[in-house]
Amino acid sequence: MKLNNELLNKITNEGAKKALPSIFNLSTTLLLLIITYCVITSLLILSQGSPFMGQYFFTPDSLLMLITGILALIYACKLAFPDNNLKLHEKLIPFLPLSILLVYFINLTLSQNTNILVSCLKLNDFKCFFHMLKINLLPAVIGTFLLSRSFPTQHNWAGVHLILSISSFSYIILRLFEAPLNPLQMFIWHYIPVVLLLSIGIIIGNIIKRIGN
Amino acid sequence: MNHSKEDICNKLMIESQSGNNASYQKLFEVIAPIVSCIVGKKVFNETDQNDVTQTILMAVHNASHTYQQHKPFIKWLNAICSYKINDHLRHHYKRSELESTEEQDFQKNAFGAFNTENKIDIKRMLKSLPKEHATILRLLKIEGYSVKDISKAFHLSESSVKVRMHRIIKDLKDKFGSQK
Repeated sequence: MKLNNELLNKITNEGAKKALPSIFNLSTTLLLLIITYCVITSLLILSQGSPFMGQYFFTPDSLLMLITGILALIYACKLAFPDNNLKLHEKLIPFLPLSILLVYFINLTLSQNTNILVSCLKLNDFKCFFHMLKINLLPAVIGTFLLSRSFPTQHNWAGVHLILSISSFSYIILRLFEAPLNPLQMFIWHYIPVVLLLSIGIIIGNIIKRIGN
Repeated sequence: MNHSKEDICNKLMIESQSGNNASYQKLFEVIAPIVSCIVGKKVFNETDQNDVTQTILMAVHNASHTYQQHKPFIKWLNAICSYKINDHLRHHYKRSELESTEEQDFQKNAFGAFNTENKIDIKRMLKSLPKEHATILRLLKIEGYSVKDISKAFHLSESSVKVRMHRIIKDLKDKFGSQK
């Protein structure tokens, strides 16, 4: 063990870090996210004067996204600790409501008139995607900072769950300002961006690994 | 892992988190042999063993704030150990894969050019090697004998012929690789 003596001396001189603050408790993290989203929503209302479409809030898609967001947040918080290694089926649980939503959209789309579907396909609603990116930015930075302060051993999954959670909440916020034109429009310009943004989660996972571990 | 060690580590870690440096030092004295034992089971190269052990100890230090006092310490330590060991093994296999591809390229370039005599002087290469190594190389790579034939002729096991061949190629690569 002589090789390690120098290292041990260095480590013990620095001393142990204090236990993680309660920021990684689910309730605290959720509260922090809710505050962040409230600020974002108020800023959106004040700066853009977007029409508030609150009447569309509690539709099945928003509810499913809320469940997805909360579940993903729970698992992101769990993955912040090294001894909370999750099995594959556990890590896939937040994707269950997301998959149900996919089935829901397919079902709604198939029940529509073909002409409406074609018009939705022609609609280039890129602005929804950019709005979602804008809404995601601040919570993603906060989430990455928090996760990098912990020690996730499954960093890519932690990043994916973090982004899934944030994107799901952003989906609900975006929904507050947009009346649903058509299920296909919702699917292409709201649901698919959430799925696409998951790839950023892997990048965030690698960032977390570089900064924290 | 016996139960008492778990209790000792748990107690020492709780004391360390509350700012007791002496307990922290004692904790590392207790866990260092455990960590090297875990590493020794999965990493066989002695130099790598020391490197990985140190990386894990450093990781334990960096992650010390993520230990939750009501949870078992050894499980937490094991999670960090397997994370770092897997990380090391992933890099190790990636590196050896790359080396073996480079080696294959070298063999292809060096021995493939034998007939055309336009790249490396094989005689010069053979002269630079010890006599036994040169013979093994000549028989295996130039005259086309099998590993089995050579192992019988030299009274060696097949695996040791392969190991020697691997070393010869590496040696040649170091000497002539830059002259390609």
